[in-house]
Amino acid sequence: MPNTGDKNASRVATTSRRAAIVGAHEHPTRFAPDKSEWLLMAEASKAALADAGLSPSSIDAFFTSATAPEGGWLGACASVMAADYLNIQPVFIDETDVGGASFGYYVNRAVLGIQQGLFKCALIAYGATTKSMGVNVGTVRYDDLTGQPISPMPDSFEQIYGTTVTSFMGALTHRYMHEYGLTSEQLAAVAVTMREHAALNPDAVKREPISVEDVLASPMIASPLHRLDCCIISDGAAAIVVVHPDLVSECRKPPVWIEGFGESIMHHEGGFGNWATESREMVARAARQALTMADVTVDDIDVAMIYDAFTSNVVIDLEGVGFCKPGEGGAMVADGALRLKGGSLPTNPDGGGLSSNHPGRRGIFLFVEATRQLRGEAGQRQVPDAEVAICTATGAAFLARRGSAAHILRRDR
Amino acid sequence: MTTDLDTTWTGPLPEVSGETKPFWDACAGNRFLIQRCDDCGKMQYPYRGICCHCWSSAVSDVVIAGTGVVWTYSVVHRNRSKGHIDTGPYVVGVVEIDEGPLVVTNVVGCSPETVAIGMPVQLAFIKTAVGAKIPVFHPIV
Repeated sequence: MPNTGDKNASRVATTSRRAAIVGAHEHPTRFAPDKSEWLLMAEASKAALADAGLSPSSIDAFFTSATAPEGGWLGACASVMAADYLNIQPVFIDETDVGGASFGYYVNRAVLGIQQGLFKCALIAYGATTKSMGVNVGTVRYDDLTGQPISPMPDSFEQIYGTTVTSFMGALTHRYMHEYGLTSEQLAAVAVTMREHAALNPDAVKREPISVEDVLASPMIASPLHRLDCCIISDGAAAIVVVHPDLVSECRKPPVWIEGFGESIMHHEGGFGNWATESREMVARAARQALTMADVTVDDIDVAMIYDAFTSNVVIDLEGVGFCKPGEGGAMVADGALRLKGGSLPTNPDGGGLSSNHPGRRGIFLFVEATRQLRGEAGQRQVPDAEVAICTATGAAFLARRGSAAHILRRDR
Repeated sequence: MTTDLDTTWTGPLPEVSGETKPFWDACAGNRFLIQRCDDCGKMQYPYRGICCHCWSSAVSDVVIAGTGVVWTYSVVHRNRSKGHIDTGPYVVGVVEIDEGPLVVTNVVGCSPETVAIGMPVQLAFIKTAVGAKIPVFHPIV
């Protein structure tokens, strides 16, 4: 249907303290061949509830993502299946699938349900055994990855040509380079910075330093993306607990308030959309909604959590959120803006998906690390006195059919 | 005039439905179809049974001229899926055809390293073992 302008812009009812993250846990494992992703999810959920100081019996809403076959065996009807495994009795469930960004969508739905009085305590959980199952997430055709046969529409017009996740992102990155002058050296700086941060995270998969030259010399996976432009593949799990303000006083730690949120999907306009600029504008729509709702500007943000499946995702998201102008993201990352040490916008202090943890759907880890940072629990990689964080994630429902979610989180004042 | 390339398709075959059959039938005759809406006049690709711009059901086939430019591309070095694992580097391209829409395809008939954004390309078809034909693009020499 016709483009009707920025619909996100009118969805900015002011908010504060509508709901809070009170429990968060990232499973320390990155390789768990003897466990199922169901068990990893259960262990993370148990730890997140303990972190919150709440009992599992408090849970009245449950959100999870199907991970089969790319990350395990939890497939169709994932939320009912996992709720049964955990023996919880939610009155509200959801498993909206926007790839790795799904968890941001769950946070949105949790906040909305809490505001509506439908429930007060939402558990959002994830587990995947992608590494131990040997799944080549970025280097198989999408039909192989999803376990779905080639469909008449749209797969038969795209998948047959041998598209992979990395080749899709590579094609997008090439166009972004063409339109905005972004370079491989600038992209490599993102990987180098993430690795610097991972060195401070004892749970990170890759902790040894790398250089721009190392990134450029690593094997080409799908041009212009080298192996070190791509996230690692790990097993992993995490859970967060989102509650109504009424429950905050019962919790063990100060709340992290969800002050603004937004989501948007990519517009293709029947083959006439510009994938490159639209990838950025999709992020921009979601982020503008979140920033406006929270009544903050990019200058108020102390720490950024950006979904870094590939180095180029970070540049596009920085420009989309408005940390710099379109075309300036490459220079921004190359100048060290993302670095914990001296950077103007410390980003992914945990080392991100590029170096710490990426079982395939990384979105939930953004919220866990943001919560740790805003609570002052991040140890060696703590951003001093972090008060406001942004989480921005883009995920693929099907290659170029993508969705983006953005959130503004603030520590208790 | 589009040609058949002297090669056999090794990738997966398209799944054809009633909705998309006209597109693949046209490919068998070396024609590539996009659509124009009879009501709003806008064009669209890929092929579908409704106009995505105005939701009119009156969409008509348009045979493309067969020329365009590489809008973007990626040279794929790693694909472990059957049908692509042993092919060596190949080019997943997005071609902006003269009629406007972006078309996901393979750019063939040249060394992958020579492909660049803006390169003029021409439609061609590759035969499959089952008789269907797959549209691809190659550089205009």
